[in-house]
Formats: sequence, C-alpha cells, structure tokens
Amino acid sequence: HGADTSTKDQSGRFYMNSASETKGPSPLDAKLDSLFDSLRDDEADDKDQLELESTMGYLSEKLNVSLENAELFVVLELVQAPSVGEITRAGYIDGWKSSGAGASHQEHAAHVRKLISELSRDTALFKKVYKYAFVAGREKDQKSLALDNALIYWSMLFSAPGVEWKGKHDWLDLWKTFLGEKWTRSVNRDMWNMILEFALKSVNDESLSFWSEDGAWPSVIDDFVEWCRQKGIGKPETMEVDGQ
Amino acid sequence: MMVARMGMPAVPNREDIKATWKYLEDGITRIMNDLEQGMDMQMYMGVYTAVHNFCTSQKAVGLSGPTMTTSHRGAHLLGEDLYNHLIKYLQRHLADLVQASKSHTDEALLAYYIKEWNRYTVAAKYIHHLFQYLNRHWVKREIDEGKKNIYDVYTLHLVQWRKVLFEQVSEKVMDAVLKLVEKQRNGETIEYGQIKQVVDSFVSLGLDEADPSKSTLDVYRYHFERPFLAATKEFYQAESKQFVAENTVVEYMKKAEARLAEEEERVNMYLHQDIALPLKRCCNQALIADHSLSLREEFQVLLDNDREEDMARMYNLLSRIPDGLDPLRTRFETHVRKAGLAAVQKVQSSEGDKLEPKVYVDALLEIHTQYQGLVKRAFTDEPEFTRSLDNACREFVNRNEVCKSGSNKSPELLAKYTDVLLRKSTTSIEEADLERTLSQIMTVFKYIEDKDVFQKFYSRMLARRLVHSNSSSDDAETSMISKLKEACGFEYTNKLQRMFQDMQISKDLNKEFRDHLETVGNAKAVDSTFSILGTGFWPLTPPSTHFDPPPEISAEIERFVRFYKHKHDGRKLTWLWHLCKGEIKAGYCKNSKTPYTFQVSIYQMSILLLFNEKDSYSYDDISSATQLSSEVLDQALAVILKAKVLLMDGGDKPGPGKSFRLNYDFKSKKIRVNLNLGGVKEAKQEEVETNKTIEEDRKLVLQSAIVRIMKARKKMKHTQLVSETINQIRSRFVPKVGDIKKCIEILLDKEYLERLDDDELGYLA
Repeated sequence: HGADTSTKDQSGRFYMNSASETKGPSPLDAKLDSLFDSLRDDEADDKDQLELESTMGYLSEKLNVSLENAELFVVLELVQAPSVGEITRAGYIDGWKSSGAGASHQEHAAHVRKLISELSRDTALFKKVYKYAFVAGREKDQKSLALDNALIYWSMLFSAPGVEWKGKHDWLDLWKTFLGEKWTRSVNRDMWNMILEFALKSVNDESLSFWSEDGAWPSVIDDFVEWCRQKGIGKPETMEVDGQ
Repeated sequence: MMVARMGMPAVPNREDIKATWKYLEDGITRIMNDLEQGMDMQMYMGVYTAVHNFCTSQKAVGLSGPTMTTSHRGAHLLGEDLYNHLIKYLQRHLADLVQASKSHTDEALLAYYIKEWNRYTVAAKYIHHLFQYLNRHWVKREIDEGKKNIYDVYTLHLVQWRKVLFEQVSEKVMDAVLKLVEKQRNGETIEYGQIKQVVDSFVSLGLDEADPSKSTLDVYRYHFERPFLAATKEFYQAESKQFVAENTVVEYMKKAEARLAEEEERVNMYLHQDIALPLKRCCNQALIADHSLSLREEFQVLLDNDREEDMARMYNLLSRIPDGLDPLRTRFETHVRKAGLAAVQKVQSSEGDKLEPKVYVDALLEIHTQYQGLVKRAFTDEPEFTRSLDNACREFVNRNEVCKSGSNKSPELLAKYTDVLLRKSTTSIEEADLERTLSQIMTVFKYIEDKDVFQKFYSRMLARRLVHSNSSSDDAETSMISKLKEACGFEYTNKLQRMFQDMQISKDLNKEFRDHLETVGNAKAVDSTFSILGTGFWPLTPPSTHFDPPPEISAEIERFVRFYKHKHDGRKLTWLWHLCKGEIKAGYCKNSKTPYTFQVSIYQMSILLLFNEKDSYSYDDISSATQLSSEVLDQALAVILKAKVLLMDGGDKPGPGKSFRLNYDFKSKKIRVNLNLGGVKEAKQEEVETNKTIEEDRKLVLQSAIVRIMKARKKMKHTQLVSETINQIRSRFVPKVGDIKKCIEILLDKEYLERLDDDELGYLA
C-alpha cells in the first residue's frame, strides 16, 4: 500500500505537519486533506474542524463505530479529538497518517475494527485510549471531568470491547454504587488514571491483596476498598481460606 | 636426722662422685626437714662446694645410665646426673609427704598442706641458691639449647610438688576448703587465712610450660575456681529455693542482696581477684536470674503499694543480670499510663463538663511528679526508665477520657490554665510560685502532641490579656514565652513576641499622640488610648457588625488617624470595635452624690451617650443611631437592662417596638459598675472557631511541608514522602496518614506535583 511507514512515529505525531510542510504536502497528506473536506458540512463546520453532527455522522456511517461503547474512544484517541463531538483537520490528517492505514474510509474502518478487536488484550493500547477519554471528555476549560460524564465513560470503557472490570464480582457496578453513595465531586486526572491501575490490578487479584493502606492510592480508592471490605468483598485471601 | 644433729662431716674428695652425692643428699635432707634448726656457714659452704665439685668432676663413673658412654661432654654430663639425682630425691620426699597426708582430713589436712607447702618452698629457695652452679651452667645451657622440661632448681621443686603431691592431694584439700567456706556461709567463724594460703599455693603452681619464666592461672582456675564456683552455685540454688518457699519475695530480695554483698566481701577477704567476676556471675545467676520470674511478678504488687525501697532493691538486683530490667520497664510504663488515665477519669467524672483547667492539669502533673520521683529514687534516674515514663505520660496526656473527642482538648485546657495563671485576678499567687507553676505547665507541654493547638489557644488568650491589659505581670509573660521558645524554637513564638512588641510600640505612640495634641493646642475632650496591632500577628478578626461611633469618639479617632497617617503613610487601619471599651461617668442619679462610673463596651457607650440628649429612645432609634446589628445591640442592651441603668417598657427581651428610658433612680453598692460583660456564649463560640481554624491551618502546614520536601528532592516514593512529612511536622502535631494523602491529592490537582509512576511522585516547578 501507499502508506509511508517512515512517518509512523507515534511521539512525533503532533509535529509531523510542520515538518513536512517545508517540502510541500505529500500525496498522502493531500488525499487525507481532501477526504477531510468531504466530511465537512460547509454550513455547520469551521474550515478546519468537524462539529458534533459531522463528527457523529463520520464515526457511525463512514467508520461503523458504535457511539455507545469504547469503540468511540478508540477513534477519538486516534485523531486526537479535542472533545467528544469535535475532530480537527490537523488531528485527522496526522492521526491517519501515522496509523499507516491508508487514505480511504474503508481502509480506516478496517484499521479501527482491528484496533477494537485488540483493545481488551493490548493493555498499552487500552491505557492510551482510556487516558485519552479524560482529555476528550472534559468540558471546555475544565481541569477535571464531571462526575456524570465520568460514570458514563467508565461504563463504556470497562465493558466489551474494552477491558471488562468484572470477575467474581462486578467491580464496575460496585464502583458506580460506591460513588453514588459517597462521592459528589468531579473526577480529577489522578483519580481517573489511578482507577485504571486499580481496575487492571483488581481483576487479577480480587482479594485486593495488592492494596495497602500505606500505598500511594488516592484516598477515594482507599475509601472504596474499605467500603468493599465492609460488604465482605475483597477480603484478604487468608480469610477466605479460613472460611472454607 | 641423726647425721644432722651431729653436724656435717667434711666435704668428700671431689673425685668420689658417689660420696659427694651422699654428702649432698644429707645436706638437702637437713634443709628439707630441719631448716628451723638453722644452718651454719660450714654446712652451707660444704654443700655449695660439693655441688661445684660434682659438676666439675672429670671422672664420670657409672652413676648414670647409658647416655654417659655415648658422649664426652664432661661437666655437662655430670650436671645432668646431679639434676636427675635431685629429681629422684624430691620424688621420694614428696611421696613420703603424700603418705603422711593420708592421716589428715578437713581442717587438719589444710593445716598439714599449708605447713608442708611452706616448709617445702622455703627449702626450695635455699637449695636453689646452693645449686647455683648447676643453675648457672648446666641448666642454663640446656634451656638455651631449647631442651624441654628442664627448669631452674626452684621451679623444679614446684614442678615436682605439682606432679607428685598436688595430683594426689589437691582434690582433698579443695574439699576441705569448700567445707570451710560452707561453714562460713552458714554463719560460723572460720580460720580463713588457711584458705588464702591454699589459694596462694595453687596460684604458685601455675607454671607456663611454654615459658618457665612466666606463670599462668590455669592450675588455680582448674583446681580451685572451677570447684569453688560449682559449690557456690549448688549452695545458693539450694538455699534460695528453700528460702523462697518459706518467705516473701521482699524478704528474699533482702537475703539475696546480703548474700551478694557477702560474696563480694569474701573475694576481698581471702580469694584471688581473678574469681571476682565469675563468682559474681555465678551468684547473679543462682540468686537473681533463676528467680527473676517471681521477682517480676512481685513488681506489680510493689508498684500498687508504692513500696519504693523494695522497688529500688529489685531494680538493683535485676540490673545485675542481662536484660533483667526490660520487663520491669514495660510494666512500669503500663502502670503509669493506667494511673494517668485513672486520674483523668476521676476528675472527669466528678467535674464533668465544668472541669476546671487547673484541676485537669494538676491531675496530670500529680501522676507525673509521683512517678518521676519514683524513677529518681528507686531507679537511679536511669535513662530507659525515664523514657518509659515519658512514653506513658505522652499516652495519657494525649489520649484519655477528657480527650475522647480528640487530642485537642489537652492543649486547650493547658493553655487555658496558663491564661488563668497569667491573668490579673484577686487570688494572685506569689511570683516564685507562679514561676514554678509555669515550669510545671512546661512539663505537661513537653508531652503534648498537638503543640499547634496550644499555640493557637495561647495566642488568642495572650491577645485578650494584652488588649484588655489584664495580664498579671510582664515578667511572667516574658518568662512563659521564652520557655515556649526554648521548647519549640523561634518560629513557634514569633507571633507571640510580635504581639508583645506591638503593645510596647503602642504605649510610645500614645505618648507621642498626647504630646502632639498639646502642641496643636487641642482641647482634651476624651481620654483615649490606642493600640496598633499588626494584622499578621494577632489572632483577631474585624467585627461582624456595622457601627457608627458616637460623635465624641469619632472626633478623637479622626484626630488620631490624621496623626497616625502623617507618621506612617499608606498603612490601613481597621477598627476592632468589639474590643474597644471605656468608662463613662453618670452624674444624673438622684441617689448618689458621687457620680457612678460605668465600665462599658464602646457599643454600650454609644447607646448610653444618646441619653445625654433625651431620656427615652425607641429600639429603632438606637438601632439607626448606632448602626449595630440586632444581635450585637441586643447583647449590649441586655447587660444595661439587667443592671437597671436603662429601663425597658414591656416584655423582657429588647427588640423592635420596645422603648428605653434612663433610670434616674439607679442604685448600686459600688461606685464603679462593670457593664462590659461578655457572654459565656461568646467564649464557647471562640473555642469552636479556634478549633476550626486549626484544621484549616494544618492542611496548609502539611501542604507547604510536602511542597518543601518535594522541591528539595524532586522525585520521591509516595510512602517515603508520607513518612518524611510526618517527621517534619511531628514537633507541631501528629499528622494522620490519611490527611497527608489528601494533601498530596490536592497538590496533584493543583499541579504542584505529578504522578510519575504508580507510587512515585515528581515535583513540578
């Protein structure tokens, strides 16, 4: 395919545009550029940005991505969407260029499908997508994520095709119940990121023996563990053995 | 013997070896057996010559064995001959002594042993001298050539004594010694000089085989010390077992103490110093360590009954064995803690909510004083016991019945007690007593964990004392601040000192203001005093109500403000009306010739001054004239009404619609009437407020500590940061891990810190 693998530089993604501009746009850039234009609605959208309508149309019709689960965030991360309903020209072009997926919607859709199928197994990919959800999910000018939105995003990310936060216990459900009872504030970046760490660890060790009071977990997680243990969930393993 | 009596014959011909030896043997026998008879010069010279002759004789005739035929070393060979003759002689002689010893036992055996030992060693010295020729030539040469088991003549005597007599007799001698010692231990008087001589004899026999010029204690240690220690152990094990069965532990301790002293004395009396340490160890084991369990059991009883002397005794005993005191310290700590808790419980249940700070602090101090005394008198102020005392005190000072709701209560009550002491009052105490009591306050302060709480309350109350000038003495105030500074450092008392300074500066400022008024020729309308208090240093907040001061006052204030602004341009003055007070004279009362003086708050002043114009005002009139909020106004009025300076028409509570008139019939026993009485409610509210600011301040203190640490370290593990923070803060209060965590989260959120890894944090500049 015509994909130029030498541009597949993950970390340099943001700068790729300006770097290549000196030599004039590459053929791939030009293709992606016109593909972006074809998605634009002249009336509703700015020159370099797809607004809500166009974005959603693109995601569901061109890429066949579900807007109700983690699939949504896979694409948002790929094109570095500034928020859930917006895609910028630069993000679009750089994202697809570095994905190496080609320059047609079909190829893009196939690429996304592949990523989605790997999402629950490829922890690095999932982490990237999960962490980006915080960036895209915030209201403009807000440092943290509104609790209502956070709850929705957790449900989307922590279930198939994302990583299911579920084992013997339905941890996602427990977490949401806990927040409903005990938490009213918004969710800051540290809490958002650390929940991912906690989720990945807890599905592997449902006794929560990896947790310790003196550990570095945010206090909301300490409270959650406490809350679970009061319910008889996540007891240290030795106690479970005693009970048998 | 018969020969000896008849005198020595002449020295035989030097070539007649056999006769010469015979002659020598007679001489030696006489020295051995009859030295007390004396020895004449003739004999001495005779023997000496015979030795010389023997060694220098050229004719070595068949006295010795086959060695003679193998070499031609003349005097050398003859020397060996003489040496061997001497050995054989000594062996025979000693065998006779062994034989004779069998008819003696016990003390008689000891006497026999000592007598023979002395005789033998004295003789040995003589013979040594007489055989000087042998020593100087043959023996010296043999030793120089590295021959083993060749000794000078004196040492040869000792070696033979050890080989022949000692081997067979020493055990029986030792039995006799031990019997004698046991007799003494059982209270009989003994001839201990004998034992001393036995010891000396045993020590003398310690010859270093490797180097005959040196001596060792091996023989003594094996044949004397070892059985002596074994017998001692057995004796005390048996005795203490029986004694404990028949007596109390306290009696036993006395007994053990006496026994230990006795054994120490025994060493000095007749034993070798070498045994001192092992003997002490042996006695400590049998008398103390073997009974340490029951001793420790008794300790609680002694504590419960304040048996100081017995505790001192127990301390002394158990300090002699390794790890003997640890269990005592643990019990002591628990005991003191319980005593402290009980003391607090007692005052709490008898005083309840009305618990006076003094009563509380005295209860704490009493326990501390009692047990500090015990540590001093019974435990020789030993540092470890002092530490146990400190641990116990810290526990019951910070966590007790009164502090149930939180450890804030102790520092609060302590600060309040200090306030009582430093405040002017009718029951002022002597200066020396005051100083002593302040030192006691510091004793408790040392144990307080929440030193920041104390600081907060202390500074509020100091502010009150200063503003209302009812501090009992500047010296006492200064003394207390310097004590706190000494305990907690400059930062802790900085604000307190600044408050003090402000008062001093204000004093000067007022004087300047007076002078200024005189020079401009202003009529002296109001006698005023102003205090300028630096905003950052005083724990004071502006009043919660609007207020229009009465014109008399505002005129004075304007004069002052003009004066002050001229001096310090750009400073902002905020008036703390709620702290202002004054006196007004009431000349209207019918019943008194001398006018009454009312001590009033400035709010009350503004109300009362209205009545210079009219005799009666409605509530709303007063409210709009003063601009006071209804809450403050009602409170100010309440005291005035209660004192009947004003009378209210209808109802018992002031409020809209009520009217007030001046009471011309006002009567009071006192000429000065204090109307400026703050409500109890106010004090309570202040307490709540103070506690609230403590929580807020702690969060800030924690956050700044965390930032400080991270700024220095750049990167740090979460747990490390938590413990480092605790270390830094501990001198002010004991932070909870949870609180530190929350502060870290706040800083993460504010982006002072970032999370690098799961448990590593980084500093963001």
